[in-house]
Amino acid sequence: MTAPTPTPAPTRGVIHDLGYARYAGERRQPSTLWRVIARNQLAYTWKTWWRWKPAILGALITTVTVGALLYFSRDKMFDALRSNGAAARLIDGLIPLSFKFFRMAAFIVTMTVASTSIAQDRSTGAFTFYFSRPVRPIDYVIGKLVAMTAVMASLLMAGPVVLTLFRIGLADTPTEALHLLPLVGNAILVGAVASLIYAAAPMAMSALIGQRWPALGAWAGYWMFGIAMVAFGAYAAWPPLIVIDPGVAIEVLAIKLWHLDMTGPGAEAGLGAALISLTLHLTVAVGLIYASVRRHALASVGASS
Amino acid sequence: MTAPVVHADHCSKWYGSVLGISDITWQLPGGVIGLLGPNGAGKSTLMKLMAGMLRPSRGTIRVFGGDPADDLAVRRRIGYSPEHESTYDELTGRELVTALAHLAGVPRRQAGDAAVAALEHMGMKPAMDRPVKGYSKGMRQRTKLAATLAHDPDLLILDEPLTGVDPIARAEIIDRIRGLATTGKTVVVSSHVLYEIEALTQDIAVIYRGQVLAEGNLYEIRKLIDHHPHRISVECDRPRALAAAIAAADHVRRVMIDRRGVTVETTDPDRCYDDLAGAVLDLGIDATALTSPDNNLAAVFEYLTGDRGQSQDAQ
Repeated sequence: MTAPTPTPAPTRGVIHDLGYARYAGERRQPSTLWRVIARNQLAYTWKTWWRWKPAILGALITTVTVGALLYFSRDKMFDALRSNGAAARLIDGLIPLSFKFFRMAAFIVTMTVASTSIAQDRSTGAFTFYFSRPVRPIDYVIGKLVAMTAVMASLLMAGPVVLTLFRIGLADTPTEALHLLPLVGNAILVGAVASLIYAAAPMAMSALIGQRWPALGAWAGYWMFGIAMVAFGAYAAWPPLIVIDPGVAIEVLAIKLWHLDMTGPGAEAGLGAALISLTLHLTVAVGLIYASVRRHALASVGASS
Repeated sequence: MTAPVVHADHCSKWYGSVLGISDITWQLPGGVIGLLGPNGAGKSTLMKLMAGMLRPSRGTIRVFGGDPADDLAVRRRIGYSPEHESTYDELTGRELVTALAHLAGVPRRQAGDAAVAALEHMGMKPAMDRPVKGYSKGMRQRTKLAATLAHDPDLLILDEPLTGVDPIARAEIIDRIRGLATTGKTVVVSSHVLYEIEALTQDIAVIYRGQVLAEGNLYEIRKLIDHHPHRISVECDRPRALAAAIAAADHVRRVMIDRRGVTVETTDPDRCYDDLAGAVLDLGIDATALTSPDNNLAAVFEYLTGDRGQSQDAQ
């Protein structure tokens, strides 16, 4: 180590070469940048205690509770019910019906992250940080959607898949277990669709409105509108109306895939109406996100000079 | 002859009915250049066009020969530091700069090292593991500059990098920006304070009302302005007497007389003002108004001379 030498007092016009070393390494392909955006979004969502973690706790509680119900539903306590055929309905219906509770956990994340994510980027000027780099609007949209879908899948898919595997584990015979195996696919399918919907719909509000609190309010309003449609559909005795609520449409999808013999407006709404509702929600939401991001990525008004 | 780093060709940008920049044809060969102009002049719009953040409404802008709005390879060579500083404040400086370097195409493992190197270069290493929300204005500016630098761009576009920064941080940032020039980068810096630009570079472009009003060496521009024919009007009761008194001066090119007064075209406004004042006093002329019809030129002139004093006073 050399002895420190006295540095002359800086004078005007002196350029200090502070030893900046150029980066000469490899570069990522621009087409892979959506992964960077997704990873950053996941890291950001995980960073605080209140964005994602309470919802995970909610999903965990739901999983444990439904798992316990699954376990005890084959106990002697339910023998009397089982003899009437009711226990069989209970054990088979618990998983599809549990989506209602997993949805609640997902709703927390739609409020803490999904409905504000793009709005926050727009209003704080973070778009500048993205789009002044070699990032295209499509990379941004895919990255955000993938991250948010992964977050939602941790709440809407992981629990039902674990429960389905547990249910298979509870099978009395290998034949029954084999017979139940396709339910894993059902759980994955419904969980994936639900995750996509609950990622895309609030993000569409977020992209469209562009301000954090109004976007959050709009999403909460849309959630309430769905609930109102369920009530109105039941009141008007027109079941297809209730699948305007994407949550109900997901439940209808689950009920139909599990072949549950249920009554009520949800069961009567029909798989077709539910699929139309889900497809429309997804298409419109993704379309709105892309159009809005594309528009604002290259229209950054707010020049400072 | 090497191609210019930036080439704007009849480039205009408007936001609805608001004009951002108007019909700018301008070339930036390289080095450090200061964009100087008052607030609302169009500096940020021009910088966003260079960074590919905006598309021209009319005309073209090329950076390294490509369209920065569409060509991702070009945008990879650009580092843009916006004036605003809102970021993901919960992240630490290191996390933020790493994420942005990664976003600019530096692979994940190298992005961390590149971020630390850039933060160190900007003097932020001691504070880089603290959340950005706890940073002072100067620290935020330096972090922003580190984020601009981390992916090693060839063109740095720095929009008002010294705004709101305390004098010590300002001196440090100026030092570091000037240091970047020694690494062969092209740096475009905007400011509405001449003193700041002067400390960074002598090459300037003066933007005013969306147009490049002057460009080149700062001192040459001053000379050009001083020698550019400049009109001064005096409203008075005896215009002919005043015209006769001033017409013989060597800096006077032309004298026009009308019913209300005299308009003098001069190559040396300072001397002309003195001579006019002297003539008015000597001849006992009743002068009611003294104006300059060359509003644009006057604004630049005053800016380049008068505002300097103000900004220095403010230091």
